[in-house]
Amino acid sequence: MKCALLVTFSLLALTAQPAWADIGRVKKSGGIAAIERKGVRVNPAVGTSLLPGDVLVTGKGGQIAVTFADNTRFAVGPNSRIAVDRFDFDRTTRSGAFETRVERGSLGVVSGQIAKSRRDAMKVRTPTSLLGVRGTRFIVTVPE
Amino acid sequence: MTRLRWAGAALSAGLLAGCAGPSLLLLDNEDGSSEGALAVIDEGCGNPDGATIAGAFSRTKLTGCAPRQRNVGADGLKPEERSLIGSLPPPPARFIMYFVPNTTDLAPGSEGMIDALDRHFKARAGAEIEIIGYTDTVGKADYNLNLSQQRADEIRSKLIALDFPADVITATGRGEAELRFETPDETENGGNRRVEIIVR
Repeated sequence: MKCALLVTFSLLALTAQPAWADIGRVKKSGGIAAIERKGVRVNPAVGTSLLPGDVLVTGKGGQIAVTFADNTRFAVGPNSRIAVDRFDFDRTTRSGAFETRVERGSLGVVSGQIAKSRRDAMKVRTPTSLLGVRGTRFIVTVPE
Repeated sequence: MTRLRWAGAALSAGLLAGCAGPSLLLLDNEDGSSEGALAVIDEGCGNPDGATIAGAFSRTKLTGCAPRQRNVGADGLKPEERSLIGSLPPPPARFIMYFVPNTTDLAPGSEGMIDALDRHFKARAGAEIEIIGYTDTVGKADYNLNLSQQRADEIRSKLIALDFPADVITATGRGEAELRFETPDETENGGNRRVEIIVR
């Protein structure tokens, strides 16, 4: 019963989501993987919409792959914690701001239109540094 | 003495971080070019432009203000790095449809790509479609912005009529922005009167 209620709730949450808030979608996931959204764990099933503030979390053997609205692509490796702190994208001007934090683990990135729109419009933070992305493909690794 | 001890602690912390701290592996672009770059832009470093890291297949430890890059070559990737790159979603696919001047009517032959679009859409897990409308430079900019939105909306309706799911299709108009063929103002150009359809 509890389970059915939960399912109903998450379905409601999905349908109530305004289109403009959808910043990206899960394209692949496997192993131990979850999206943390305002303290609640969401199953990262293929097609799940991401929202600003979401944290992509994986455990042993886990992975999550995401494509964002500006065509940026992420691959989250195992034992990772990746926070999408900010994603603003204006579909008309194709510009915006994108900030991601790699708390631990590994993140593969192919940058998209936000990175091209303005210098350092896309930033990636690690516990020791702040990176400005200037259009590229790269991996950031943060060992535990 | 206390100060010395502090310095010692900071030094060993720095050394430890140097051994197993955060690192960056910069790869080539998907087209094989190596024009990509990142910059370490820590505010504390007093370097407003940041320390630039450029050049494909290099590894950089992300500690301190002057990151040191080491080339590893295309064969220098660890197995887990290869597997991470392999698990990236596929690059978006792009299709273009053209329009009769000052209308939302498709130019003859423009619907030929719908089969290919359908194949791409079905082959992708969690696929979405973004439709972006454009115009040529004939007419006022705000009129064209509106016309480009109508073109995008028209194609969205067409795709929904063909059973593509409405909830994964967005339509945006960009008017005279990003001309496919650079022309002066008030110039008719069939290549600019278009919608671009991105499947991702």
